[in-house]
Amino acid sequence: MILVADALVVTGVVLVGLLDGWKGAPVALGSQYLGLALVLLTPLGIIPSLVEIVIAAGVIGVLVTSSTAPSPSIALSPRIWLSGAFRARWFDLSVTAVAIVGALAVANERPVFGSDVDPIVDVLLFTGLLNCLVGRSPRIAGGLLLLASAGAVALQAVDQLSTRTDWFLLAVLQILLALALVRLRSIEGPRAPDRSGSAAVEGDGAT
Amino acid sequence: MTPELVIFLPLFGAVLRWTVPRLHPLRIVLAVVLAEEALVAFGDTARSPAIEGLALDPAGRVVLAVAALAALVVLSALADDATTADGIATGLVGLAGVALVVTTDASLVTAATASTVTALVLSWGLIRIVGSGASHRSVQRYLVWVLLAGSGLLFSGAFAGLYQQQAVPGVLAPAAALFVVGAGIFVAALPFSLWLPSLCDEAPEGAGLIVALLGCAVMAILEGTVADSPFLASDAALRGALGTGGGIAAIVGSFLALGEKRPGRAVAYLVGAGADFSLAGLASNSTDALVPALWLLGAQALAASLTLTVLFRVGRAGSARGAVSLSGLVWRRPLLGWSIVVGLLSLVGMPLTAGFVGRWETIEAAGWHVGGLAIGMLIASVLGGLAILRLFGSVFDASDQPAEPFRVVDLTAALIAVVLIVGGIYPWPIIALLR
Repeated sequence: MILVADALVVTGVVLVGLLDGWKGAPVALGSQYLGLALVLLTPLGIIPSLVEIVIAAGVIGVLVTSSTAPSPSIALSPRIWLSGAFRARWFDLSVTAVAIVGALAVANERPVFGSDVDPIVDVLLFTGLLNCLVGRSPRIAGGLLLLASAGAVALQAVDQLSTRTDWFLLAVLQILLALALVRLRSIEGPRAPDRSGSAAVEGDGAT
Repeated sequence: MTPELVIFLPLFGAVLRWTVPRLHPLRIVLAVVLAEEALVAFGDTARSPAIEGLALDPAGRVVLAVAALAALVVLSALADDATTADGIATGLVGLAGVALVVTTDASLVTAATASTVTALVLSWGLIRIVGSGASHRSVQRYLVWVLLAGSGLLFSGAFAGLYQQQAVPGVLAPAAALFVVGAGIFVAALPFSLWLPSLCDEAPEGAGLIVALLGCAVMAILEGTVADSPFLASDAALRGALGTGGGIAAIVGSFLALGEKRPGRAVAYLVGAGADFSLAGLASNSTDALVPALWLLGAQALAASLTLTVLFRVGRAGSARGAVSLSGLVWRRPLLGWSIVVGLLSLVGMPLTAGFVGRWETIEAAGWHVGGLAIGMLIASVLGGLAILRLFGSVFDASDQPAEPFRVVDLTAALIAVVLIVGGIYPWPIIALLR
């Protein structure tokens, strides 16, 4: 199950690196969160996994329900999510792959947490930083959420969330971050030039 | 009940602002701040019986008092204008966030998470003014940097916790580095302050609130964490290097301020220079230099909120947002004009201001450990003084314009200026509380 979980997380971070607009963000981040929930289940138990699922529901819910269209609506159709959501830019893909391989190597050479979460934390950290530094707005948003996830998982791995306040604040942080990012997106959308016809309909725009 | 009340009082004020729009925002601000100061002065110091992990110690009271004062001047300026009064609720929630940091500062993880949440809440106010003030790019840059800061502090907490459980080798250095980076970003210390200059230029009111509240949050984290941390008190060579590096960064910041043409950006670089000195002193001699670092950060928070608020007010009085009209300010609006003078003098560490006391105490505590820190401070102060003279000297220019009507923000700005001067003349009671 750990391999499946790791694969889901890696798939998620790769998809974040290939985002072409905001449409694909729920799918990319959803894959990552699902993988994290499975990763946390084995070494840490059901409660951290459930908390991760709740956080995922909050973040994905915010992303899905946000819209720059005049009549906001919940886009539930997978065709809307996946059509034109990702663009395979080979340079971005190769840089992301390098980051992932490097993270796995670091986790293998110097495991810090001594459990199955080391590779995941390092992958989230490296790719999160990468997307924050070199990406456009959707990728920056994805990168920030990956960083927040990395910090949350690291803290859970070393059992540093000792009070209910800690759990609550960590969940609030990630959901608040998603809210701030979509709010910023809603302001960016009307001003930024759109790249394609579908992007214009959805209100996405690259900075 | 005090720890819970200091958190929920500003939240209640924010809810009141949202739900009762007819209520004048200035009254809400004054009521909340006065009540908060009263709680800080007269409340009990017991741990919260209801919420796990909350407590308010004497040093935390000082931090919270500073945060409330800094928020007062900014929020009173926002309340002065119907178009900006919407930001008051965000500011009050930010103040509640700082109260949460102060009451949970015994745990680095909790305090760091609360600080990051506070920073995100404050970004809401910035997002609201995108287009008319802050640019989208500046706000995005701010979000990236504060998330990096929060992540750094969280990872630092994770590594420190891991070390305390298992004494794993090789985690203390990353823990220390991430802590310095995270704290440095939150207090806008060079070179981690890249997010601040554009914000100070485009949205000085938002920047003033952010610098003040995040600075107070870091004060709380340092006060609650440094004494017990396993990673900040080792390796004299590293401490010396950090101290020297911080001093050099502060001089660079003062140079950048001297070369700036826009007042807001110059203030941002001066804030960065002061933050560098506080962290440099702390890094060089963590035990004795903690109180001077806290003092310096607190003085910085008040001075930054004061100067940026005045820039915001005189900017809005100009023909376009961002066009700052400082000429003859001391004659047109004496309280505001003299207040910004005091704030700027405190930022550069001139004598008889709280900023000078902080720098002097830092030199006394850490000057022996870091070669050249005293000279570096002197150089930075001189450069900073030249910068403020060049950019803000026009406040003393003769003006044909008549005196402007009195506003509450003039009074709150004067109050902060008086606090900065009293802090520079008679600081010992507050220093005793911090110790």
